[in-house]
Amino acid sequence: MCLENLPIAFDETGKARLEEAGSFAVAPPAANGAGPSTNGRTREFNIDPVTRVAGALAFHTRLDDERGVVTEAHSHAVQFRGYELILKGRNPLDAIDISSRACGVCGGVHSTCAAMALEMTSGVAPPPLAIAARNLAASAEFVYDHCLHLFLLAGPDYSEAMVRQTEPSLWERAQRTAAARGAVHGLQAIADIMKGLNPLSGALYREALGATRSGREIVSLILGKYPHPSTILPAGLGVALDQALLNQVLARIVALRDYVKRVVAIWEDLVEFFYEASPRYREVGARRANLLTTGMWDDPEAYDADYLNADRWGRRRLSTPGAVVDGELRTVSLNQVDLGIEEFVDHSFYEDWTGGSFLPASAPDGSPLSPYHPWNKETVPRPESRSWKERYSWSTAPRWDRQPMESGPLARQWVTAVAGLVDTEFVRSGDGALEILIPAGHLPETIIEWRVPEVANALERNRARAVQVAYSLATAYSSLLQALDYLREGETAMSAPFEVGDGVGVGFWEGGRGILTHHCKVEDGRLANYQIVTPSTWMASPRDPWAAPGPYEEAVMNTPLLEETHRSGEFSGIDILRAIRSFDPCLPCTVHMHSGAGTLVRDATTCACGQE
Amino acid sequence: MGLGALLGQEFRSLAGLPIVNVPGCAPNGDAFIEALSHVFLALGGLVPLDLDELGRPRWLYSEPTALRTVRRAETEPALGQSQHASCPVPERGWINRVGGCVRVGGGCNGCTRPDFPDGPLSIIAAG
Repeated sequence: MCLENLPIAFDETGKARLEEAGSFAVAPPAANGAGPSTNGRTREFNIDPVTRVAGALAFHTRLDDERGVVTEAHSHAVQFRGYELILKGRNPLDAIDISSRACGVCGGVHSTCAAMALEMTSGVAPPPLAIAARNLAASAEFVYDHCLHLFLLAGPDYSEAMVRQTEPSLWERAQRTAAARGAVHGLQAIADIMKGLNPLSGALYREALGATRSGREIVSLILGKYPHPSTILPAGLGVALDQALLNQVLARIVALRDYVKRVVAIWEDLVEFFYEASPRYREVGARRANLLTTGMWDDPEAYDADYLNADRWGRRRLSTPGAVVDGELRTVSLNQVDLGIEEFVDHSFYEDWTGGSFLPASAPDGSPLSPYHPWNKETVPRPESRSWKERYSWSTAPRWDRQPMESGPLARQWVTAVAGLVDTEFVRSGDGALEILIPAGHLPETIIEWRVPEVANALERNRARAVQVAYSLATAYSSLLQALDYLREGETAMSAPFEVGDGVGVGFWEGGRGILTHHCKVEDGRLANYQIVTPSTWMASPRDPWAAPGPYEEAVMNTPLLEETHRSGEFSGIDILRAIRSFDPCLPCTVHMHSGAGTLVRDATTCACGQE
Repeated sequence: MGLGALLGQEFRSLAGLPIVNVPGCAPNGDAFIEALSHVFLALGGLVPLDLDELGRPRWLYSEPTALRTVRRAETEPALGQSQHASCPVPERGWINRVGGCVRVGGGCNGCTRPDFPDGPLSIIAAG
């Protein structure tokens, strides 16, 4: 069964129907179970703020220092954003520009996702060359985005400056441990990698700044500017893609070939070093393997912006859509991914909207829709004081088949590797593995291999993200070659005639940190409803109606306190920070650590200002 | 617009600096660094601080040259007249002299204008 907890069944042809006597009603467990221990042995520990993709994030925990465990964790989005309310009633075309502003890092993917939602509403797809160009820009955006996270945002957590303070014995060990892949990345000892990761001064930190600049140059060449692009239209792009422009893109891709090989080698060495130092690092940030992805990078010959065909064009994506629950691949159908999505607000500062009357009962293909599905959702803010037991976040609790899901490079690669649908010149998938071919530069041609890990944890999220840099460069390569083919064949059109039409639409397009969907409803030429579900909404989610924690919360509660100074006043919370940051919450550079009394204990920013 | 709305137009920093506005959504990085360098030079007494009446670096944002000016299209009856946005990006590109909105076929939504983002978007043409 694809959906076990929702009353939706599928026949042999994949057509969805409501199960007999099926109900979407939410029945929470009778008892919430025993509350967490609050005896004298535990203390409160708060992280506030963690700025993220859709506003500011704070994190509340309760720690048991004797046992070295986290007994309680609450993820608290502290800011109301309200893009849904800003967009309501506006010209649908405004969604492309305005939704982009939901994020200062992923503007390109929001704009593209908005364009795709409008394409579906009006039933018009871009010409093939424009789809290839969109893929190319998104690939370059990922190269930028993942390097930014690996070296500027999460990397400092593994740097000499941090490890020397938090795990002195690990730093000793790093100086004695040779890096297995030194021939690729050029660093002899693990300690050299950690020095390279030092904020602002480290060689790897500074080199990554240059790489992110190359990524943004490619994006600017195609999308006009970054982070908020200016060439994105529904059913096309404003830019004229010609040989001269593609040559400028190619030069930048070629220059990154060796860099991506080194990025993978550096993170492989780091991850293995931590595992060998202590198997308990496998528990940092660990959670059930519940993963969700819409997939990414459309086949220009397959994408037709039609919901009825989304299953077909979804399977042709260069990164496969799908859902994994408890390590099992449940589906690769984009329609089923969509039908399983619900948003709950029981622990959020919003009113339940399901008593409303405007609800469309079904999806465009007639499939039954939950009243909690984004197409049926209405955003009704309900500000009130925070209570960890009641309502504590401006994030909603998105669930797939009523399960908390994480997304991002680990989810994308996991689904693609198991599904085995991607087989191109540069990327092969199947049997739970990926092979990514990166052509020769100064370093020889390299096949980067990645296998589905035994556990979804912080280190595996970072390893997957490093491999995803290579994956993204590979898709940039294949999209560029495809674009050149279209130009040779005279297929130079970059946009199709488009008029805003009434109807419903959805954009499925991933951001660097994971799944992104825009659901819209257009009536009388205006936006009657617009719902954005960002990856950080999924992962920063508070508890759901069944009291199940969101992914950040779950990962932090599973995290052991391995920090060597964890009983002293020097406590930095590094294990908790590594757990949360592995999900790539946006802009974690503003994380500050506070004691329960609200006193600043230590400034744990990712810049050097917190390092003595 | 900008910090002036919060701190007051008469605000001066401890070093005696007024608010320097580098407009845009997001402000162009190359222009931002150039503006910052200019502020340092001015603090060092090497050049006079050259800001326009909106507190913007004058040479970057207030010269309505043909290249720097993009015009709101006639398709915007709500405004009743064409309006202009001054911006160095159409001339210089977005980053390292590549890309740049109307320079590569994109629209201009007037993100450097003082009234951005209030009012209709997405409908500014090169002019």
